[in-house]
Formats: sequence, C-alpha cells, structure tokens
Amino acid sequence: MGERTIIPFGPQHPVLPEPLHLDLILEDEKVVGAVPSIGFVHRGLEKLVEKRDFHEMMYVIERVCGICSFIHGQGYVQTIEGIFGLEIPDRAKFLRTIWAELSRVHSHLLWLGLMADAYGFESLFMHCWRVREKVLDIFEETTGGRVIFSVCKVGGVWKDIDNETLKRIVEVLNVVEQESKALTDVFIKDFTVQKRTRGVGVLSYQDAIDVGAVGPTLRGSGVAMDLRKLGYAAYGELNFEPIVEKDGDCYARTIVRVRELYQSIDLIRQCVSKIPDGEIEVKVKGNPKGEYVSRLEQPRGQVVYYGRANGTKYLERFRVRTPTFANIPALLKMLPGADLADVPLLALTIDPCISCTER
Amino acid sequence: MAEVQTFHPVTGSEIVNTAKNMLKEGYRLIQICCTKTPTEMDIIYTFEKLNLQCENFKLPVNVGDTLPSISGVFFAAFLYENEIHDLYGVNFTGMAVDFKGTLYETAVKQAFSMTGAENKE
Amino acid sequence: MAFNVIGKTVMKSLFGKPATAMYPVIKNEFYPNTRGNIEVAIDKCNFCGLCSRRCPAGAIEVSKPDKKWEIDRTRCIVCNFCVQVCARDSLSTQRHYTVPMTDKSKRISTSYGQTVQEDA
Ligand code: SF4
Ligand code: SF4
Repeated sequence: MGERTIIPFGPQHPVLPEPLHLDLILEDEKVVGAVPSIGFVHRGLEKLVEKRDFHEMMYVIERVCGICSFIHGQGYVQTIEGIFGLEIPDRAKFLRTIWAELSRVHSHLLWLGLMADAYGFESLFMHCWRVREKVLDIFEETTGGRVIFSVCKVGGVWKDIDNETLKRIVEVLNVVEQESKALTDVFIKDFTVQKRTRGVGVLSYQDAIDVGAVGPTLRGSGVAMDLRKLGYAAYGELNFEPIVEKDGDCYARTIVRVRELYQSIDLIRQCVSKIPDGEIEVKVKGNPKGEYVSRLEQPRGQVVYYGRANGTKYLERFRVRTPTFANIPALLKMLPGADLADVPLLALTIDPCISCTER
Repeated sequence: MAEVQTFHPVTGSEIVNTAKNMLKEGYRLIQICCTKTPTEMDIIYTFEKLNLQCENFKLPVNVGDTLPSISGVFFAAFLYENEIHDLYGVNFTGMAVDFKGTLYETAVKQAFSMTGAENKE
Repeated sequence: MAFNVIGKTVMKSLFGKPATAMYPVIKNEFYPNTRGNIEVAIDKCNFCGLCSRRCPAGAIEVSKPDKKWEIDRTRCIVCNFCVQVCARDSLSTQRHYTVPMTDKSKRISTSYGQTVQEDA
C-alpha cells in the first residue's frame, strides 16, 4: 500500500481545451478516487429565458453548445411545441432529422480526432478533422452557418433544402463514408491503439445504469438505450437499431461512436429517400402556457429539457440537462483502478462538453 | 409528440421512499430541476426506465428549506442537488459528495432564486 | 490486430494535393446561404424599431426622430432574426463576414435615413 497523493487534473487544458477539473486521489500510480468540479465558466443562460421572448430564445439556447448546437435548438423548439401541442409538417421533421444526424456525424468525427490526439496520433487527428470539414461545408451551404445554424423555429424550420441539394449531400456523404473508413480502421484495428484502449476504464452494465450514464458511454456498456427510439422528429419512420457494445471499456465506447457515425450516414440516406414534399412550417399563434419535459438524443447522449410557460411571451423556466452532466458520475465510477496516465483518455471517452454543462 | 405529461405531487418527507420505489421498479434518475416563479417554487424529479418510459414528480419547496438527499439511492443525484443548493438556496442533507456551495461560485449568491421581475436589467 | 492500417492515407497525403486551401492567394468561396454581415437598405426602412426589439443580442438601435439605424457589429451574433422579422425587407445578410477590427470605436456602424418617410 502506497501513500496517498492528491493530484489536481485540469482545469487548464486537461485533455481538451475545456475547464473540467478533477481532484485525483492516487495510491502510487493508481487512481483510487476522484472528486470533480465544474462551474468555472457557468454562464446562466437558462436564466436569460425570463428576458428574451420565446422566439428569440431559440437563438440563445442554440449557443449553449458549439457542437450540438442544432440539437439544442431542436430540443428547445420541441419543448415549446410540446407546450403548445403543436404538430409540425412532415417535411420540417425530416429536415430537422437530417441536420441532427449531420451534427452527429461531425460531432463523432470531431471526437475521434480528439481521441487520436489524446493518445498522441496527431496526424490522425488532423485527418479526422479534414473529413469533418466536408460536413461543415454542407452546413454552410444549407443553413448559412458552419457551427450555429439558426434554422429551427417554433413551428418548423426557416430554410428548406431542395431535393437536388439533398441528393448532393448524399453524394458528399458517400465520400465522407469512404474516407472515414480508412481512418476508423485505425481506431478499430491498430495494435498500439488497442493497447491503450482495451480493458481500460471498464464500466459494467449495472454500474452504467445505476450512475445514470447516457449516450455512447451507456451503450458501450451493453445497454441498448437510444432516445431516438422515442420516435421524435422523423425517427419514428426510420429503420435503425441502437448500437451496443458489450465490454464497457474505452475501446467499446470508441467502437460505438465509430459505428454510430456510419449509422447516421445511413439514416440521412433513409431520410433523403423518404422525405415528403410540402410545407416547412406552421403558423404559431399566441403564447405558450403549461409545462413540458422533452428528451432527445445528442451525439453525447440523452439531453433533457424542461420548459414552463405562463401564457406570456416570456417563459418562466427553461432547463437544459446536458449529457455531460449525467456522464460525470459515470466518469467517477470508471476512474478508480485506472492508471494516472490513462485518466485523460478516460475523461475523453465520456466525450465531455463542458461548455454545454455550464449552460 | 404532444403526449400529455403528468407531474405527480410528492412531499419532502416522501421523496427518499419514492426514489427507492422507483429504483425497485427499474427506473433511473435523469434529472432534478428546480423552478422558481414569482408565485411558486418547486423541484421536479424525472425518472426514466430503460424502455424510455418516464415519470415526473413535483415537490413544492421554498428558498432556505432543507430536504433529504436522494443521492444515497441514485448516486448521480449529488450533482443536481449541489447545483440546486448553489443556485436556488435549497439545502440538502446527506449528499454523496457535498461541495458546500462551491460547485457554482456565482458573484450573486443563489443567483437563480430571484425571478425576472425582481431582477430587471 | 493489425499494423500500419493508415499506410494508404499516409501515402495519399505524401503525394497528393494539400488538404488545406492556399488562403490569401485563393479566397474562400461563400455559399449563397452564408450568413455574414447584416446590412440595411436605409431608404426602405421606416424606423419602426421591430428589429431592435426582437434582436436577442440587443445589437441594433433604432431612433425614429433622428432617422438613425445603428448596429453594433461585435454584439451581433448573425442569427438572421432581424432579417426575418423586418416587415419592409430592408435588412439583408451579406455573404461576406464582418472584417476584423483593431479599433473598438469602429464596431458601430450607423446609417441615417435621407428621405422623409410618410409621417414620422
Ligand atoms: S430595419 Fe425593418 S424592422 Fe428595423 S426599423 Fe427598419 S423597417 Fe423596422
Ligand atoms: S442578426 Fe441577430 S444578433 Fe445580429 S442584429 Fe440581427 S437579430 Fe441582432
């Protein structure tokens, strides 16, 4: 039994440039415990809802996160539509699904790049981001923004994508798929990568459920739970199964994300082949009154929104429970028993997005 | 989409038992959310099953109240409870990890416990 | 397990064209949809102030008596909402971005209406 040491990890660039801080309790080289702290950049955006009317707030909520910005916007408008009891046109639903899945493709490519960077594969990181660039170009072409799209609105979407562009998107995605295949093979097959990831930070099936892990972290431990199965937006009409890996280690979580990348591309293809013609928005009259909890699946996992409105144009409360918030307890469960050198890798496999968490 | 959502009422003394029951039935905690409006204040506990079924419980509170923590039942609750403690000034007893008000160090203490009307620009 | 799975990609980057654009020489092409600068066609504007009330960032200031329309470029988050709410179509999003500035005083751009609108 060695002596116990406490090592602070973060908040300055722990593994990715975001302020996550962990106090690691070490026994020699092994982690025996950890205490997280967040809140270094807490912005209180939720509070702004009382001063911006519910149409404007969409643009604020989108800026909660720079990666899943679209899905935050989508979740927000779904909550408001839930309070209104509004049904949006089918084409708008499909368009939202396409943008949401494109977000997932770019988020997973981004994460794979960061992961490669975490174990020192710098050029692999750049290659991942090179492929991701194509997806960002699609965003700019269709929505006007590369990161913040501002296309959702209560009652539908602002912009339509014409069918020709949709076809071209699929063509671009074919290239993206082909190019990612060459890169993801490294994550799946490479010897050194497996040395770093296999058997590291195992989160068992039961633990994953108990600590409330979400998203790929949960599915990497063998739990088939995917909020898209709720059938919100157009997911009810698409054909897919949650992607599950059994092992619960870093490797399994990587594989889940790699496979989800291809699943998302496939979902976009399905959307493009099924998308109906028609309106893209419905008129919204009056102000919302009531409360509603909506749940969506982000690239990082489940996200929960809660909105309450009192019949004026300002909401009383809008809450965002981001996936990273739910995954931090999971991270604490994974850490004990890991080597100090593996901590950055472990922190990364929950795909932390602290800027979301500090909304 | 527009399914009707019910919020079951619950009181502070029942919440731990409610949580235990939910655990027994295979639910897990997905969020705790505090809401303060000019007229009322409550905490919403949302539980979810693996088949995605979800239940909400609503617990009325006031600033300064003390509630038992459910982090003994659901470990993940500690983050939400610390958050509510720091932003709304509701105290919890027996949290698994107690940050003692240092999770969010805001310039104004209990920043969210003021509602928009009292806190105009 | 396999070794050297990335070999093909390495060869491609060794002998292929660079993946990055030669920026100052070749300028990036923007798409028709790109949201860049917000511009006002001041002669269409009747200074109703709707855009300034709806702007989530509070970047626009409109003054009816002075016939003044003013935007703080550093506050604007280019969300496009003002363009969509303006009933007289006087706002538009340009395809180019706001040019970076070294001087803070240049962040505000003001336009004054020339013609007298119907009943101010
Ligand atoms: S730009 Fe449009 S919305 Fe703004 S003041 Fe002029 S007319 Fe009104
Ligand atoms: S684009 Fe958005 S932030 Fe910019 S001036 Fe218009 S409404 Fe305001």
